[in-house]
Amino acid sequence: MKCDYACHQPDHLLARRRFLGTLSAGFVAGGLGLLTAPAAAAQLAKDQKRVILFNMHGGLSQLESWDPKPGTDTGGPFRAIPTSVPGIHISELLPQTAQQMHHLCIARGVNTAEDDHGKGAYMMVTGRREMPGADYPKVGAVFAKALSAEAASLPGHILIAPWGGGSRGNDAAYLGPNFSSISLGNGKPPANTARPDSIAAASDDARNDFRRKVNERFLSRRRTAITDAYTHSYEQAHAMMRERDSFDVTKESPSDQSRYGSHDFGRHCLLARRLLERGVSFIQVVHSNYDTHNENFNFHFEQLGEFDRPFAAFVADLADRGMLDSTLIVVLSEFGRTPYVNHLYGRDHWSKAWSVLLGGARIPRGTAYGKTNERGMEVVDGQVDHASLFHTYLQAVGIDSLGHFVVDGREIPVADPAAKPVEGLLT
Amino acid sequence: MIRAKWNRWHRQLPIVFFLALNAIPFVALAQAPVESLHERIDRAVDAAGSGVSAPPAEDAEFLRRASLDLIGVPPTKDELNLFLADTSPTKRPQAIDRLLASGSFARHMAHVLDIMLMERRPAAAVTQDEWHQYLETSIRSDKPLNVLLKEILSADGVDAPLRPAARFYLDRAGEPNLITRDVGRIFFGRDLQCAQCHDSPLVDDYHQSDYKGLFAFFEGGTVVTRKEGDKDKSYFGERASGDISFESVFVKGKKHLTAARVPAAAELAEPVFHPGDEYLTPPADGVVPIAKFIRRQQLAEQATSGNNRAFNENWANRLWAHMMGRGLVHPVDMHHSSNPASYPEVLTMLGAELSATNFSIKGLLRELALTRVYQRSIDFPSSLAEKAVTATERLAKLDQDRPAMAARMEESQKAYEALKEKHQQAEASLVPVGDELTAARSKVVEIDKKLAEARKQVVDAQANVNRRKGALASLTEAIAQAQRVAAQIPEDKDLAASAAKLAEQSPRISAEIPTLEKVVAEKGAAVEAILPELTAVKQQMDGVVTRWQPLREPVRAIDAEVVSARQQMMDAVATLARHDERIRLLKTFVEFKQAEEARASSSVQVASAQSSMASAREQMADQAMAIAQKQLEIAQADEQMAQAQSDLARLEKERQTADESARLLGEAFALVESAKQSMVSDPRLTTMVTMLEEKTGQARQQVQSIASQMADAAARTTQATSLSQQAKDGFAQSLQENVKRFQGAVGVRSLLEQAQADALQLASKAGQVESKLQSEWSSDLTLAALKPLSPEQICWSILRITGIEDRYEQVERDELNKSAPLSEDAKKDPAQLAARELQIEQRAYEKLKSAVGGFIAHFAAASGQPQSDFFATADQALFVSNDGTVNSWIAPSAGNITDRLIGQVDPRAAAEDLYLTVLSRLPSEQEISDVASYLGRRASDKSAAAQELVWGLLTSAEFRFNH
Repeated sequence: MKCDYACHQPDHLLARRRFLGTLSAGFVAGGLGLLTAPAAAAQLAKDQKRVILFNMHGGLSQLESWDPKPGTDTGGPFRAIPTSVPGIHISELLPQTAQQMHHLCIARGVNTAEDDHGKGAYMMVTGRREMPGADYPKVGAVFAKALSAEAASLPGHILIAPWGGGSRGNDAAYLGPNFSSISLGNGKPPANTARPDSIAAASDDARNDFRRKVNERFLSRRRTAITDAYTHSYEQAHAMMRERDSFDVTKESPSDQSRYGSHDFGRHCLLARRLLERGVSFIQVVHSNYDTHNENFNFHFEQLGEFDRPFAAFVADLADRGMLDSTLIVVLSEFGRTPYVNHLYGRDHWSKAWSVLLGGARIPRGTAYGKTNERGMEVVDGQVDHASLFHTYLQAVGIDSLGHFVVDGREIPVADPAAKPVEGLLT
Repeated sequence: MIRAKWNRWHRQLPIVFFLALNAIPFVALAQAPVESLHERIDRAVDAAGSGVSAPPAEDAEFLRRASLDLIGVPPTKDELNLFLADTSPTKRPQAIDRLLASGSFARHMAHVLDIMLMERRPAAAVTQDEWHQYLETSIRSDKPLNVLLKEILSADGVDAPLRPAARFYLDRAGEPNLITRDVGRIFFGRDLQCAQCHDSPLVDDYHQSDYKGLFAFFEGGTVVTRKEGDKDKSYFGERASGDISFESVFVKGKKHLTAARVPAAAELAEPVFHPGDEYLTPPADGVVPIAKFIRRQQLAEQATSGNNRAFNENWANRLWAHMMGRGLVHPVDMHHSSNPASYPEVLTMLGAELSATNFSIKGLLRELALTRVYQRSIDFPSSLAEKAVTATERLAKLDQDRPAMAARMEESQKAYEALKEKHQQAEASLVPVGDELTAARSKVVEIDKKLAEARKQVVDAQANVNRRKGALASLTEAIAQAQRVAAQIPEDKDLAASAAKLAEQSPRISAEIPTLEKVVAEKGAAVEAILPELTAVKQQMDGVVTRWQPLREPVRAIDAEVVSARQQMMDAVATLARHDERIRLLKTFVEFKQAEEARASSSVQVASAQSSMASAREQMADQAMAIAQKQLEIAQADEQMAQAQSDLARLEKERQTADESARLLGEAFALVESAKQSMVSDPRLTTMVTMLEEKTGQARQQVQSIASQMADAAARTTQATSLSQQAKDGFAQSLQENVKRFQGAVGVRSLLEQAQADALQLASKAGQVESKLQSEWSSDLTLAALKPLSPEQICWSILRITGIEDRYEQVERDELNKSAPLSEDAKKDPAQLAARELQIEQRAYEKLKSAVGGFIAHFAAASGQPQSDFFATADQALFVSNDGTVNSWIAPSAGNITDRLIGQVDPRAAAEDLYLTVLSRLPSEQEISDVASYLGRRASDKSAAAQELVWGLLTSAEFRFNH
């Protein structure tokens, strides 16, 4: 679907591009060093924690999704429907997701006080406000660092977006390129993971054997952490080549493929499931575009129509496969949309009262946390923001969000030290 | 091409050699005791170091290292062969000079400085080419580093030749916090980021006032964008501003203030201007403002004057890190007293030397390359345990010196704290007046604005008057004209009427003018009315300044004292920290020695236990033989006994038979005797009696004989029984002895096992200490560091090794020879030939440089992040393995290494060519035989095999690092 939004000011375009730039592609040599306790580390190795983040790019309307206000002057034309959890209603645009609500949790009191695309997106994926001269890693890099096993053959930080692809993103800041995202543009496998036809398999093996032998001689003179990292990168590369099928969604059963749908977002969701099953720590799936300054209702009707079925199938599959306890699900945007409807039947940027959907891991099942007032104008209960949510994501998979990364001898707080996790969003 | 390069070098050789002779040891010897910097560095490092060092790097490794560091690529095979064959004792200094004189030096150092200064930020305001060209030209012309950096720090982009210098600010969008952080890091080696909102919680030395003092230089920075032609062009101007007032987010309500301050220096003393008077060119739309007092100018001058220690030492440290792979201070942007230089005396020396030698980049790099420290190998030195003996002595000495140092540090801390307290008091009384000054200043700004508005109204009113007057003049003229026309054609009444109508307008317009003029006068009066108001607020401000000045000056003066006390404290803290670090390093060395000794003694114990075990085994074997002997004896005795017993049994039987015979004979004799008595005369009876008598005698004899035989057998039985018993006793004894010896052996074995386990543990401990020592020595110059190649170095090295560079240069050479052939005279002029070669290189470089992009995308850290941290990711390996770039470069192509390998029939020659070309060294015998068997196995597929070998070396760790 091609959207022609009103939001075409250069600022928006620039911000959007910057946002994309920061979210585009690395590999992981990771940690497990940040877990709350050594026992947790052992547990995690057995039952590896994972995180999936759906980024509703452009700003999903909370009123057409998680926090409908039917029958009010701000509510718009859509009805609210009951869900699998008595008492929780969501928009009728999400009928399938409604049936999975018993696995999920809506945070309805999000107030981030930032209506700019770039800044809002930055806050939601770093858990901090942008500050000149400072640069923080994006959520995926943090999880890759904290959750991925050093020997993992697949990248720990994957981005699946409708665009771009193949390369390493600039999103790990001081954590370093090992934790940057690898982007699978429109679901394509990472760049250079296929051996070129010009090189025979035997030839590739032979040259790598020779390389190893040459290394052995040199490393007997001097072997250090950096030589190890270097030689290991080739072994990792080979593991990725061997496991290239992990990125091939057509290897899933035809019935699953049809259940998720043949459109891009459906394929991306199924690919995400496939990769999570293969131990990838963090995946971000981008669904674009929700920046509906005009024709908000038509566009949400179409966009959520695409989103609902594969997302609901994804949640149900995770639950069926027993992966829900180890997998955190987050559905977020850079902000929500205005309760008032503008003269183009659009909704504009609105960050003071909107919703984020969570699920799995330590998130309480089948709940709604926080509340906005009758017309959705402000948060009246359970207010949370980008920073406290960021702490919560980390805690949900057993990472001590109050801990530090040690980078080059410097201690850097994992999350904004001025904020705390939201206890009500954790069991 | 290789030939041409070599020719060039060769031609320079005599000159270089001459220079080298002059420059290095001979001057020092002949002219007197001026010790060169490299000698002083080596002496200082030897004095303070671990007491041991890696052996010197071999020639091939040295040349690869120096080439990569100074020109960014490894030597060609020809250069290397000539260097290896050269027997001159000064060949290393010569090579260094040749590299510094090479055309590639400036280009490589321009890359290095570019990455250092811009950290791969996207080029926007200035193109990458202009920027690179600016840096390269600066280095090629030996522009002193401080001059270059001064241009960058003071750049505004207005002056066309220096416009590229403004990229530092403009491509950071003029953002004052970002610029503060990066100027702090890159120019002064201090990452003050964490001190932006409060004193750094991590680094004691980084204060919020340091951040704000530096920030003050950029706070007024303003990017002015103008449309020029069809392009937007931006400039970096500066708006005037006053002291910066700030508070810590942790200590709310306590205000501090600071003027602009160059790191580690005292505050700037700034003149106070009335608002509006600060500018030569005031700010306006599209105008780059020029203030009377430009702070950035002051920063540029003070920082680069040669007197700012932080600046000098930062740049010395960065150049050092470039050569040695690691800063004396590491990370290079963390100069502070808890992170002291590994050799503070060397850093001090380098900073001073850089300043004293007019900030010559080449000069400093040359000295660094000449040090023994630079020329050390990466290998861990051997027989360390022996050398560690002195470490214990050094350690004792260091321990002894420590208390005095700690006392000095405490003293300096106290002195600093006292002054700091004094400063805070003075500052506390200044702050309210400072606030008043700010208020008075804004009052002036406000009235000034009002005045400007009023003046504008006067101007507008006057314009109104002028317009009316102009209209009136035109009208008067028109009337005259109309009247003239009416007079010329009197019969046309309409004309006369028109003229009259026109004339009627005139008085009305004339009448309006005084009204308008009155407005002018009124507005003028309003201006006049504001003027005294302005004078008043200015006077008010002057009044505040008069009160402020006497308070400000002492704060500044105390601050200068604080700065100096702080520097002393920081030095004392750093000295102690480095001292402790040295103690720690020596302790590891001693620990290593002890671990080594323990390992050695444990292997002695293992050997002794092994020998005990061997002797125990021997004894057990002996005993086994003794046991066998006793068993034999028992068997023999038993056999004898059995024989005797069986004899006895047989004899008994015989005796019984004999006894029976004797009894029967006796009876027969008695019967015959009695018969004879009755029949005396029968001679036959007599004969029979005689015969029977004889027989009986014989039988008795036999019985006797058997009895005696039986006695003998019985005796033999007794003897054998006793023998058997003896043997059995002996056997039991032997068995007992055997058990004893076995138990002994078991004991010895468990001792051996214990000793072996101990030895294993001690060996692993020693191994651990050794790797700890290795890593510590990697950062303290004992061993040469491994330096990862930059993306540029990887790309250009592979282009050179695979012959692509040659091919491109050949194309350019042919092209130039066709389009601009050198005259015969020019061909004889070395300068012109060199210029031509440079031109060829430059043209080939321009054509090839886009190839670097792929390497930067994979091997460089993200834009805006520090670029010196090593990382290795799978996507890099995938790029080199499967992307077309490297694979296509190593394909065979006329005369390149792959092509030569295919054509070479002698495997030794092939191996030598391969290793010299790719790894810049000769292969070992083992490597030659490996290559030979590799190519031998693949004779039918030599092209693929050759590419595999080249690829295998290009992707090896040995290639990836400069070592």
